[in-house]
This record gives sequence, structure tokens and C-alpha cells, in this order.
Amino acid sequence: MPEVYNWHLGRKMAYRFAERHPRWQFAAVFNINRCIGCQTCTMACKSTWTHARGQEYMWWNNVETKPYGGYPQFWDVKTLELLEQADPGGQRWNPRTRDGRDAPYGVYEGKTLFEAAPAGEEALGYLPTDEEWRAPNIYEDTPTAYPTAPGRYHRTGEQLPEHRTWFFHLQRLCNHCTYPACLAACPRQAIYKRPEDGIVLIDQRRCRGYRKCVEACPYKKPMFNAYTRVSEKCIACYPRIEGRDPLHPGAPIEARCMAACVGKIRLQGLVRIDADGRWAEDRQHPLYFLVHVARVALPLYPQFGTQPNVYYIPPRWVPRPYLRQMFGPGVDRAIAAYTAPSRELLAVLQLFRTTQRMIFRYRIEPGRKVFETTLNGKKWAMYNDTVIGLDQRGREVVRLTVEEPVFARPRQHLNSI
Amino acid sequence: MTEKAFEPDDPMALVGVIVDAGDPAADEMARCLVEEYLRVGWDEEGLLRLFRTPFYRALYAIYRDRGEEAVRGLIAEVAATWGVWRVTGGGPRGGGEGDA
Repeated sequence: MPEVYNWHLGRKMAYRFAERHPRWQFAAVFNINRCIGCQTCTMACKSTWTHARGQEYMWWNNVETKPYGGYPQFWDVKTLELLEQADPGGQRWNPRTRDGRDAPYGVYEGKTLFEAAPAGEEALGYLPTDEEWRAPNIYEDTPTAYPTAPGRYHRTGEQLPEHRTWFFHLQRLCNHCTYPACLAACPRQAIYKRPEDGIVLIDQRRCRGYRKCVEACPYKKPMFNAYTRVSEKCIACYPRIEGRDPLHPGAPIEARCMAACVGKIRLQGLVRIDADGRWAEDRQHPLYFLVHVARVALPLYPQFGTQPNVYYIPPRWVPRPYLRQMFGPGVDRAIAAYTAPSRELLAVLQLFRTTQRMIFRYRIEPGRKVFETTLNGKKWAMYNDTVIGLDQRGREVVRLTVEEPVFARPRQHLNSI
Repeated sequence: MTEKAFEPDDPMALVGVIVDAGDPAADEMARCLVEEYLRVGWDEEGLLRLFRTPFYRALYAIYRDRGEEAVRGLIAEVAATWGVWRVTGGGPRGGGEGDA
């Protein structure tokens, strides 16, 4: 089996195919700290792509409440458990071996899902049951179930016990992985990664519905359509990425779930990829800055080995062992950097969800100091800098300040245009 | 598994772990969320509306348990660390003056 370099793991790993990388890669950063779980992203995706027959249960984008939620139910716990059984105690990192862009989180010493695959399989995985797919937010508000029947409602359902501890909302869609487990597992080679933007797609004509992709993907984002009898998945709204949306002809714009986010937690773009698979150094690209310079954004379950391309700013209030398992050993540094943000980070965070146009570069014009305080025992100052987002051709698409004024719509005109 | 009882010996069922919970964890969550929304420019009234809305469970649980006075105190405490409000009615703070 060929070996490929996975920079999330800081080492080479076994994968079905030899390395061949796209020129650009669809990527995004989600700031979990700001998500209120409104599900606007979920509905934007649902109303665009999955409202046909056979797609009723499909939520290509979903928001689940951790630690209780999961769609399909228990997807991550089950995969972690399978990996633990295949490689007992193996999910360990050596953070002392951190090395720039090659190994920013250190070296993962355990087995990936590809390396732990049973004989005859390309990746370790499982097929969720129909019941696990059925209710995307089951048990998230209440910790217990109650028996129901068609047309019957529980008389005191509103009084069910609640979870009474910390939680956070996890926004999930296909990660358009660098080393997709779905692609590796497909016996028909019906899944491919586009060279122009790294988007992972299922060829609906080649697919014969064997569901090996559903079984192999640890994030459980390929879904089987029982009506068409082939599998489907998030297509990253590729017509928008290609600049074919009539709103901005010729200009790549963000996917629907990104553009719909009212909480301003999402920033999506395309990052340049070097021939060796690393992100090309692009210091003024906002995603490059967040992932490689500020290092506040981390991959979801990097130990699975697929090198996912959606990154998360971890929630600050959650116990660290939980976060380290979910986002790897970069968590402590990411939270420290986010809690007392640098002048540049504070400006870049303003770019989240300010325009549908994709931002390829930013520059900052310095402003005056507006505030001083002490954070974690250290002096911290805030500057009202101006951050300017530029498109692929270097044209300005957005300009805003750190102290951007917020205009509150008067109550009597809440829905006025 | 939506209507089936939990079976502790089911190897595929949720593996339980002990996590920090209780009031300190919830207070920390509330403090962080208040800080987030202050940093993007929300004002006290807007934040209180989030706290009062049952659909935003994280903040509503704090509001229901601690009461409005405690929530106002929490917001004031965080605001003191992060500076003054950015939203004043329908216009920019200070009439937009003073920005570089």
C-alpha cells in the first residue's frame, strides 16, 4: 500500500492511493465559541440540496450538541471505540516533535483508520443503523426517551429532565478530506477529488450503492439514497465555488451553509496547495493565518487520518481532555491564542461572514489604541485596526474595523427592507 | 436505539466518561459566551434577550437558575474586562468619530 504524508499527524501513513494533490483546496474555519445552534446553516443546505424523494433523512450539514448529540447517533464515539479496540491505548501524540507546517501538532503515534483496517478493507468503519440516522438531534435537549406512537404525544414531555452541564454546538459537513476514507473504500472508484478545488464528489452513474463509503467515512457524511439506490454527499455547493452563481458571475462565492450563518462563525475559502500536499505559504490568506500562523483553528479528530479540511476554533469552556481527544494536542495553544487574541487575530476574526464573496487575501491598516486591560495577568491592548478583504484578483470586497459599529434595526421596522 | 433502554454491556453503545460538570462549568460557559458576543459588538439589552429566550439553551439555563440580577452582574463584569459597548441605538458609538 502506498505511503502518503499527513501533516495533521506529522508523519507518513498508509493509504490506498499514491499522493496526488489538487491545485486549490476547499477549506473552512468554524468558530465554535460563537455558535448558538440556530440551525440556519442546516436549513440552508436542506432547502438547496436534499429535499427530494429518498433524501428525507439526509442532513449534509448538521449542527449537533456535544457531548450528547450526534448525527448519526454516536458516530464519533463508535469510531473512536473501534479504533481503541483495534489499537488499544494507541491514540497518543508526541507533541515534543512539533515542526512548523510539516508537523504543527507533533507526531501521532497510534494507528489511523486506514492502518487499523481489517484485512480486505481499506478503512476501519461501520454502517450506522436506520435508527441512528432517524433523528438528527435526539437526546440533545433531554437525556431520556419516552415511548411514542403515531398520533400520540407524551403528556409531560416538556418536563423531561435536562442535561445540566456544559455543552457546545458542533457544526458538521463533509470535510472534503485530503485523504478521503470514502474515496479509498469505494470498490467502483466512483468517488473522486477534483483537481481544481479538492472537492470530493460521488459519480452518480458509476456508484452502485454498495455503501462502502458510508461505512468507511468516520464523519458519516456520505449517505445512501434508498430511492435512487446510490450514495450521495455534500457537494460543497460547487456551482457557487466555480463562480457560476448569477449573484456574482465569475467570482467564487461561499457555500450555502457558510453564507447563511447568522452567528458569523464561518469563514470559507480556497487555499493553494503545494505539489507535496502542504498548504502553500500564503501569509495574508485568512485561512492560512488562522490555521498555520495563529494556530487557533484545528482539525476534527485528526487521529482518524483523513486530513480533513474543515477547521474549528475550540470552545473555551469545555474540559481539556475532551477537547484534546476531539481536536488533537493543539487545543491548549489554540485556546490561549484565542482567549487573548493578537492584534492581527482580532482583525481577521472580523472577516467571518461579512461577505458571500470568497476572501483570498487580507491586509490591515493600523488604527488607534482604543482600550487597555489585563487578561490572564498580562497587559492586553485593543486597536481599532481596519481589515480589508480582497478577492482572487486582488480587488477589495469588504472593509471593516475592529470596533465596527453595529446598527440595531428599530423594533417597529424589524422586517422592513 | 431511540426507544430502547440503555444496555451497559452493549459494546457499541456510548462509552461513559466523567467530565467536570455543575455550576462552575456552567458559569464558565456563560462567561465565555457573554465575552464572545461583547467582542462582536452586542449590547446589554441584546445579550439579555438571548438569555431570556428559551431556544438558546446555554444562556437560558443560566438565566433561569441564577435570575436576571445575577445575569446583569455577569454581563457587567465581562464588559468591565472588555471595554465599553459598541452598539448605541441605531448608530455607531460616539457618532463614528475618533476612528483612525
